[in-house]
This record gives sequence, structure tokens and C-alpha cells, in this order.
Amino acid sequence: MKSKFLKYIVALLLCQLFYSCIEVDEHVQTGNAKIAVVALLSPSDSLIAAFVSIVNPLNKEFNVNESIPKNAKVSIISSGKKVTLQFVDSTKRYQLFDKNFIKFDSHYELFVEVNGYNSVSSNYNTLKEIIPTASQSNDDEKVTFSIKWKDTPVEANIYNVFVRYWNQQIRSTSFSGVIWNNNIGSSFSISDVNLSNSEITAIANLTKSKSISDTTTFFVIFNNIDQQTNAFFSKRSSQCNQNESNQQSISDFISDVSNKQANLNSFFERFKEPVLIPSNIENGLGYFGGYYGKTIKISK
Amino acid sequence: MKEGSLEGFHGEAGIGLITSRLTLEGPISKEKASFIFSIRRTYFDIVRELIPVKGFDVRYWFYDLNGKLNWQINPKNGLFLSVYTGTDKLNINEELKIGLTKINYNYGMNWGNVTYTIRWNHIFSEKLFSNISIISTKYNFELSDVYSRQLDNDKYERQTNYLSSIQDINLKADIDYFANLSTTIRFGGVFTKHQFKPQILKVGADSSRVISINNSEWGLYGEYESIWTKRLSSNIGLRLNSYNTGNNNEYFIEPRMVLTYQLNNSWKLKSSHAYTSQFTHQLSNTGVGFPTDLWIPSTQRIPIASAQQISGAIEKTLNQGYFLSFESYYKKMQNVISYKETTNFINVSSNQETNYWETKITSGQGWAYGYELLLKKNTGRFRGWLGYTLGWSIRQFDDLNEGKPFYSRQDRRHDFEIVTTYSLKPSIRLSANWIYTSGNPITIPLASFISFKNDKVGLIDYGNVNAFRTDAVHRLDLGIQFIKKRKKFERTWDIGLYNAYNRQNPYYYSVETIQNTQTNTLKYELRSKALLPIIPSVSYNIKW
Repeated sequence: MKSKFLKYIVALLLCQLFYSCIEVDEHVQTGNAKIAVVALLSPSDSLIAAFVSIVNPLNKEFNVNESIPKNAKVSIISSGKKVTLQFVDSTKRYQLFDKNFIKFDSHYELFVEVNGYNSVSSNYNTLKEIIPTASQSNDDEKVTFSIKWKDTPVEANIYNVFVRYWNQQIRSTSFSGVIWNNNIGSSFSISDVNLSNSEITAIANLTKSKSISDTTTFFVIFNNIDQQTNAFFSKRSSQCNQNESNQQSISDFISDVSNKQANLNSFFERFKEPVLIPSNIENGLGYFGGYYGKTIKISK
Repeated sequence: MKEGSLEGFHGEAGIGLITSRLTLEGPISKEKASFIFSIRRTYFDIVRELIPVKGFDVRYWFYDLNGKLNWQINPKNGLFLSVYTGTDKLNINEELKIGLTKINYNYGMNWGNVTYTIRWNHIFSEKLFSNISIISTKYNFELSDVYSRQLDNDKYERQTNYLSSIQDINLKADIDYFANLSTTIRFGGVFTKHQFKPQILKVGADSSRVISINNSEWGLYGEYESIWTKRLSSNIGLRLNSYNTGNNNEYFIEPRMVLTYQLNNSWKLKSSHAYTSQFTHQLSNTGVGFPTDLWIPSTQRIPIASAQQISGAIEKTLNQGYFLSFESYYKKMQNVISYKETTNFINVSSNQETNYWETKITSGQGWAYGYELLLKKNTGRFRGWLGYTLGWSIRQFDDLNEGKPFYSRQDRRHDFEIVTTYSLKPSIRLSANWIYTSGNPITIPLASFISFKNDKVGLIDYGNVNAFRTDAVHRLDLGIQFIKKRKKFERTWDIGLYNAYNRQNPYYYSVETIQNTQTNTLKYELRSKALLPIIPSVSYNIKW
């Protein structure tokens, strides 16, 4: 009787884990090289650009010149139509300009093939088109702009708005000096996550000066990017900033020992927390995303 | 620490190849006051200096010092003064040459603490007594780096120091009341004043940048320990904690309970439940490099951690002095913390806004669960114990690892230890200890790829957070003691072999770039750095 009871107790202790286990997704490490692709669709530019490279695993020697394949087959399918992107040597990327193919609010599938590697694929829905309205009013001291647009439901977007003008004094285009919704900055940025109102208004003020007069012409630059694409590029940017010092080449290092290299490979660089880059590429790494930008002349 | 002898002077001293120690104790006033004092110092660093090493040189040493004064004022009052101080210091020197340029990394860390305690013990009656203590502690953790490179006469050198410290003043009162043979009541209170300096940074000749935070906490507790029947006993407690985080006071009520049921003469069942809160957080890095744990306070931005733990155990007393226990535990933690993804915790940037330590931290939840098995033998010529833990430790943060759970750096799947001694003769004692611990999960670069034509390093794929598990740590230590009793003292020759099969246990990892300019090839290589190789030791010890 007692031994039976003890068995129950031991079984109970063992069973405890079945109720308490938390599933952890462990990354499968493969020693084989695979394909990475960073591709962007921009309906406003009628452009698809894809940067294709070979992923080099840790502990495996690779040839730097062979990291960017020039003979990859990069194709995109949408609404039953298939197009192939061409390699451009100056930008080291595959691209296509096609006004009729690259549209707003459409589904695209990406396929990349490189000899000797498993092909990769991904898909992306371009964003719905938003056309903001912009107006301008002038008084003696300042110019005020009002830019309005309606957020698209379902999509998770990040909007960036700039005012561009010709600065007469420095003889150049400028974005500076603008006060956005009472905050100083060159742009207005807003995410639609947890936004209660679908109508968004950005108010900007610019103080008149020798550079800015009643005759100055202003343009609104309106950029719309989905949250996931933005996350990929902001993390890419963070990681590049972390690795900035490492990007110094050996030859630069040899030729200039003392200059501006205080952080190079220093001990404390080893304590940086890793930045994980998201990926939506099947069988490979990288990201397939999109954005668009619009330039609107402000009517006075 | 034990109290010094009131009867006569005694001591223990040992001198060896890599460590020496001394303990002295004796009365100050006969049957009234006594002292005990001990000191220990390793000198593996000095021994290492005698062996010329090129390229990668590790030096490590520690010392500790203990002292205690005991004054029995009268039969009802006793006063105890004690002090402890200890420091560990690790220094690594790496030299390499790129072309004609000589590069030297001299880096390391040291950590240690100092504790002073004054305790007044008062006996009210046979059933009631109290202990009132004032305790002062200080813990320091420091990283240092001297980086230099030289090409002919053109030399560049920079020194950086990072320091983190906690200083506490603690006042506590503990009262024990033995109501009867089966009931004990304990209660008391504690007040702690903390001073945290989580980030003290000194770069080159610049003045130090110091951040100091003052906080306090107090707690009241009560505990009721009772034997209900021949078989059933319990210990039920409640604690009220209050934490001050800047302008706010937060309160936590913490119940806890232990139930013990004696099945028969040899079998015993135990179960426990506890809710705890914690004001001080442990912060561990996740990447390659030195494993570092900083202790930081809860603030208005960093929430107080709390945990609930349940456990169940079964114990058996076996024949011939053997004891066996098997336990399972489950712990759920809230508000555990971690570094945010994009941070560098020792950032030399002077931008106080982006480089402020609180902005680098995020909070989430955690789980720890597993089994523990213990087999002990405390009698006979052969003695020792065997312990095995099968455990999991998991964390989840909304803004890390895409919100998915991952193994924490403390996750060790298997933790096995066997400690044995065998008395061959009364004068010869053999010992052998073996440990095995699964590797820790860390985040390493698994691959790299180019995402833009001007990328030189490219983007790094880390997989998931802590997706890589380091090599397991295992080590065998052997020893033999020759004991001889002389007229006035006992002497022991102690011959030992630390890390007997010279296992290169990884202490930290680094990723090295290997470039071949002739073939225009690159390789990112993961290298583990081991600190302590096989170390033979001989020491001569006396006890009187």
C-alpha cells in the first residue's frame, strides 16, 4: 500500500513538469551557406530593387568577391504576371522599373535562385495609396502648414512628413527650422499603432527670415512605410551603427594609427548587446518589404 | 563564522604552491571574550608570472579575510563584532601584430565585498531571546581596459574603467519564542538603506561620470513553526515588505509555507510554497565576451521583481548512513530584467540622455523549473555526496526575440557534482571531486551577409536570443592528505591536482576575423577562452 502511495508521489512530482514546460524555439544552426535577399517595392517610384548576397556561416572561409552573385535569377509574380529583375553593376543590385506592374495595394511573390544554393522566396502586399492634403497660411512672422491624411485601417504604418523649400541664403534645398506640432525637428513622424483617430493632422510652423519669404515655394514629402519593413531597416541601421568601428578596413588601420580610432575593437565593444535582424525570407535571410513617398507642392 | 575559543589559543596555518592561509583564535578575557581571525590568499598570478607565455596570458587571484570578536557581557547579553573582506581579480593580456603594428589589449575585472556586523544577543528568558544587528556591506564590480597600438614611434593608448557598486546599511531585529516543545514563533523587522552606483565610467584622462541612487526598504515578518502530530509539521510565515523607489512606496505581502509529513521511520514528504519580491535586480549580458552580472535597483522606470515558487520533495533515510532526496520545483517570476536589444551596457558615449543606464533595460517574465536529486553519505570511511539537477530557466520579454520565450543565461540543463573522500588509514585521506555543467545559452553571430554594396562587415544573423549553447564545463579534482599528530600540533601534507585532465573549460567566447589577403578570403571564427589549466598543488598545514 505504502509503496503504491510512494509511486503516486514520485509520479506526481514528475508530472509537474508536463504542466509547467514552456516551449522555446531553438534556432537550427546549419553549416551550409544560403541566400540572403533585401528587396524593396516602391509603387511611387515604380521600382523593385533587390540586393542578393550569399550568407556566410561562422567558422567557414568565404571569398569576399563571390559574396554578391551576379548571375542570380530574381523574379517577381503578381496577378499572374511574372517579371525578371536585371543586375545593375553600379549598384550591385537587381532592379526593375515598371509603372504598370508595381502598384499600390497588390500582392507580390519574390523568388531568388542562385546556382548551387537552395532557392528562397517571400511575399509582400504593397500599401494602400494615401494622398494627403496640404495647405499653407502666412502672417507677418511665420508660415504655417497644415498636412492632413486618413490612416488606412488594417495596415500598421509609420508616417514621416517633411517640408522642403529652397533656402535663398545658402542656395540649397532645406528641411530645417520647422517646428512640428510644437516640437523642433526636421520631420514629423507618427505610428498608427494605438491611434484613436483615423484622421491625422500635422501642423508645422516656419519663422520668416532672409531665407524664407512670401514667395518661397514649399513641398511636402510624405513617406509611408509598414511597421515590419521599418523594423527591419531600423534594426539594420542599429546593427550597422554598432559595427561602425569594425567597418574600418585593415589597410585604413595600418595607414592611420592614431586618428579617430579610439573605439576600434576595444575591450568594451565586446559588451554590446546583439541586435537581432528580423527575416521574412523562406529558406534564407533578409527581408522583402516596401514603402512609398509622395512629393506635394503646397498651394498658398 | 564560528566563534573564537574561550578556552585557549588555537590556530591553523597552511603554506602551498598556489595558496596560503592562516587562522588564529583564542580568549581575550577568560570565559568572557574571544577572537577569531583568518586570512587566505591565492597566488596563481605570481606562479603564472614565472612561466613565460606569449599572446594570451591570464592572471587570477583572490584573497579573503575574516575576523570576529565575541564578548559575553553577562549570562543574558552577548556582543559580536565581525568583519569580512574579499576580492577576486582577473587580468588578461593579449598581444597581436597586424602588419608592422603592435596591438596590446590588457583587460580584466575585479569584484569583491566588505561586510561589518555588530550583533547584540539578549536572552529574556529560557523561552525568549533576541538578536539585534547593524550590518554594513559594500560590493564593487570593476572592468578595466588598457588598449594600445604602436607603429614605429607613433603610439596610441587609451584606458577605460567601468565601476558598479552597492553600499547597504542594514538594521535588523530577530526575536525567537519557544512556546513549547512543539511550537516556535519567530518575528522581527529589517530596515535597509541602499546606495547604488550602477554606472561609474572613466575614459582616459576625463573625469569620472558617476550616477548615484539612494533607496530604502523595510520588512516585517512573522513565522509559526509547529509540530501538529507525530507525522505532520509545518512552518507558516508572512512577510510585509515596503520599497521606496524615488517618490513612491510600494508594499508586498508575502505568504510562505512549508509542510512536512513523516510517512514512516525512513520516508518523509515535503512541500513548500513561497511568494517573494525583490528590490535588487541581477542584470546579465547575453552576447559574446565576459559574462558579467551587475546588481541594480528598482526605480520608477524599473519595476520590482516578484516570484512564486512551489516545490515538492520526497526524502529517504537509508541504511549505512545514506540519505536520498528527490525534489521538483517550479518558479514563476514577474518583472525580471534584461538589456534592451540595441544597447551596449558599457557605452563610452558621453550622451547622458541615450547612455543613461535605465534607458538600456527592459522587463519581462521568467520561469525556472526542474528536478534535484541528492544522495549523501555522512558516516564511515567512505563519505561524500552526489547531486544532480535537471533544470530549465526561461525568459520572455515583449521587445526581445520578437516576444518569443528564450533560455536565460542561467539555464543549465544538467548540473552534476560528486564529492567523495575515502580514509585509507586514519593518517591518509583520499579525495576526488568531479563536476559537470551543461553550457550556458548565449547569443553569438551565426552568419553574416551583405545588404548594401558598401557594407564591409555586413549584417549579422544571430538566430534567436541565446540560441547558441557554450561547451559544457567539467573538471576532475584529486587530492591526497597525509595527516600526522605530533605532541603539540597536527600536521597535514596536502597534495592536489586541480583540473586533473586539463579540460579547457570556456570562460568566455570571442569572434575573430581571419583575413587572407592573398586569396581575398575571410573567416569569422568562434573561439573560446579558457582560464585555468591543470594546476598541481602541494601545501603544508598545521593545526594546534
